[in-house]
Amino acid sequence: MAEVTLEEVTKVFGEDVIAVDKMNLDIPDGEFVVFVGPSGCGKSTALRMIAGLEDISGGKVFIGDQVVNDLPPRQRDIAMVFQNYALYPHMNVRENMGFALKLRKMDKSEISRRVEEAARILSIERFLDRKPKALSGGQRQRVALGRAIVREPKAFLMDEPLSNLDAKLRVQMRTEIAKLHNRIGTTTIYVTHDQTEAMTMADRIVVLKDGRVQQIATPQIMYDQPDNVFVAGFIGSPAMNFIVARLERQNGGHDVVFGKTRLHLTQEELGRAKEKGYDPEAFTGKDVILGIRPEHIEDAGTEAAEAIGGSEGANTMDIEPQVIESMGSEKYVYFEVPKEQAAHLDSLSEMTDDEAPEEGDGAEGGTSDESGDMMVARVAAESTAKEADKMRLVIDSSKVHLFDPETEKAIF
Amino acid sequence: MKEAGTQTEGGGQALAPRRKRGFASVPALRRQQAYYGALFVVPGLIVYLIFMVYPFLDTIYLSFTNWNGVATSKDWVGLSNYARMFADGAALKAFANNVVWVILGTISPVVIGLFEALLVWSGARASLFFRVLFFLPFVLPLVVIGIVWQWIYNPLFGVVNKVLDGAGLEGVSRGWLADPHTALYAVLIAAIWGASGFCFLILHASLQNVDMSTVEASMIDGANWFQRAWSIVVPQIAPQLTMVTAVTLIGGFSVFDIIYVMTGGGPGNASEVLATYTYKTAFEQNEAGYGSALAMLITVLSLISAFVFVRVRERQR
Repeated sequence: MAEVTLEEVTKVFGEDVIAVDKMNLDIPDGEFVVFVGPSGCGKSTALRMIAGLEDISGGKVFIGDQVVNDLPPRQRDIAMVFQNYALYPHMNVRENMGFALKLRKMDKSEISRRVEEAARILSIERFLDRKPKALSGGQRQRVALGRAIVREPKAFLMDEPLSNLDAKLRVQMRTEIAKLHNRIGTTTIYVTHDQTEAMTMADRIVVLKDGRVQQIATPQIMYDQPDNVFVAGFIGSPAMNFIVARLERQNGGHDVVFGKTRLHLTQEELGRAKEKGYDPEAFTGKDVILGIRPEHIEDAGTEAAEAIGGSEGANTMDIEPQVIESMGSEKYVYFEVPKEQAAHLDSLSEMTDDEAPEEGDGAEGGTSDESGDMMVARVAAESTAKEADKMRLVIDSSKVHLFDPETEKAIF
Repeated sequence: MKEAGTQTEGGGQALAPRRKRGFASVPALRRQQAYYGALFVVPGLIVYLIFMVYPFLDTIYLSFTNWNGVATSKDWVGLSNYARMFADGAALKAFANNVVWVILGTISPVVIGLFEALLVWSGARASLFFRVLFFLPFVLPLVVIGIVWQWIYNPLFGVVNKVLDGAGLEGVSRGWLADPHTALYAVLIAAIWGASGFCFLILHASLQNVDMSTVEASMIDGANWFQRAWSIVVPQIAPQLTMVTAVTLIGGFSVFDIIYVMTGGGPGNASEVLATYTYKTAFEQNEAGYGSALAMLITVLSLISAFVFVRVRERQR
């Protein structure tokens, strides 16, 4: 096992296509780090540079104390799991898993012991003599994992290993990989475009966009304190809603105002802004981007709404639901944002449907599209909201986020 | 249950006439399709029967006669032409040469073509240049290849001797095609170069279907270039490799043109193979009956090769 460190790592394709731009990252021994971001953000390229499958255009990659820039993959002592499994089609499972050990001229009995041990951990003992084509997708992915763990490498690299599996199997394998990591404790770098995978599996998440690191943080911090609009919109499902609002002084404090809604900012929120180097006064009287997660908006008619101010407070908004999706345990209420409050954010417009959070197609909530700007609220199942029936929503003003409209960076 | 059963029966009855109507037209359609199918096949079939099947059957018949190729009469001689082969030193020499040809002439171009294909596929610099270079022998007719190599081997002006002389190896220089010890191998080298183009073409195309992620996985697993090529890439193109080997192997038993152009089977019978010997026997020595028997030997050897090839393919599947 080993630390993996990236120092100003850069990858340029051709003359000027920068795939990864001065990436810095320190992954301590045993950590599970997830690279997440939309297609073309550079996450796989970064992983492939660590693996040695791509030349490094600039910067240094360390595995342990050793700079590995010029080492071929086989000398880096890492194992990789590929999206399409990359099992050797002409070898059976046992041979696939033992191939790397055979190349190292390891004793046959030791190869056999390791393969059988890994097969036991992954529950694939029954398939050891089968060829990959006789296995299901899930079984193949287990074999790919097995091939990686028999090596006992310094680090595991996983490039979207669950993308080819169906949704149910993906959830199951997600848990198994997490369990496997807890058991083996090897440093793992995992690439995915699925923020749910990132949130559920990672010790720390690295969000990438256009080859640049947007934020490196634990899943909770990433969710609670996103550094910018992109991270805020990418992490969380359904995605955060963004609207244009105005920051105003009110009774010695600060309120965020849009339409008839007035959200009073807490001292804690203002304190966080100051910690980030923002003076709320500088934005007073100006437009800001207000970010509200769907789960922080409640139907005013429900019990849950009482805890965040009830139906009569200023932190309410009257809307006309356009679509209501019932998930059983909760409901998603989709409604239109008035045009003057629509936030057109460049950084979010690049997200495609499959890259945006998977649960509910409310992923586009808060982002703008051709058909109009939609917001989504995740309300309690008891809500009696009906499509086209006017209703009142309550916003938890202690959980909102403000972003600088110029830089799209978080004010808090 | 009874009701359900009745319903099903009723449904079945209701469906039956419809089904009958639906399928009633199918045989007519099939008959029509078969008719048009036959119409398209017949011209090719007639040509095949006239120029392939009839001569083949006639050759079998002739191999049991003493026909001289000109006379209007021929006598049935039974198996004597076949018996003669085993006592004919020239035929045995041709057969021995053919065995050498088949072994070296099959293995070498396949290995060379595979190596060239791997080299180009694995991203060698100037790959376009190498692609053209390796593909070149495929576009040249064997007769042209033969003539070009005759010049290369020319005792006075040939490149081979000039290079050897330049390297101070005057003692090694010789008339490569005139020396009984080297003639067969000199022609063989030219033929190997010619066949390598075909092997390169097929194998290079088949390499495009190799799953690159398995190659990358093997790099991470610790395989070097040769281990990757041998353990990961070659097994993935095994069907094409078998096909190329089989085609080259079968072609090896019936090789004629390049030998005929370069040495005519000589000097003496140093580079004689079954096909050139058959030609000489049948058309120069006017022993069409015996020549036909020799032709049947080539056919049998080719059929055995084809049979082995089919079996290997089946096992791969």
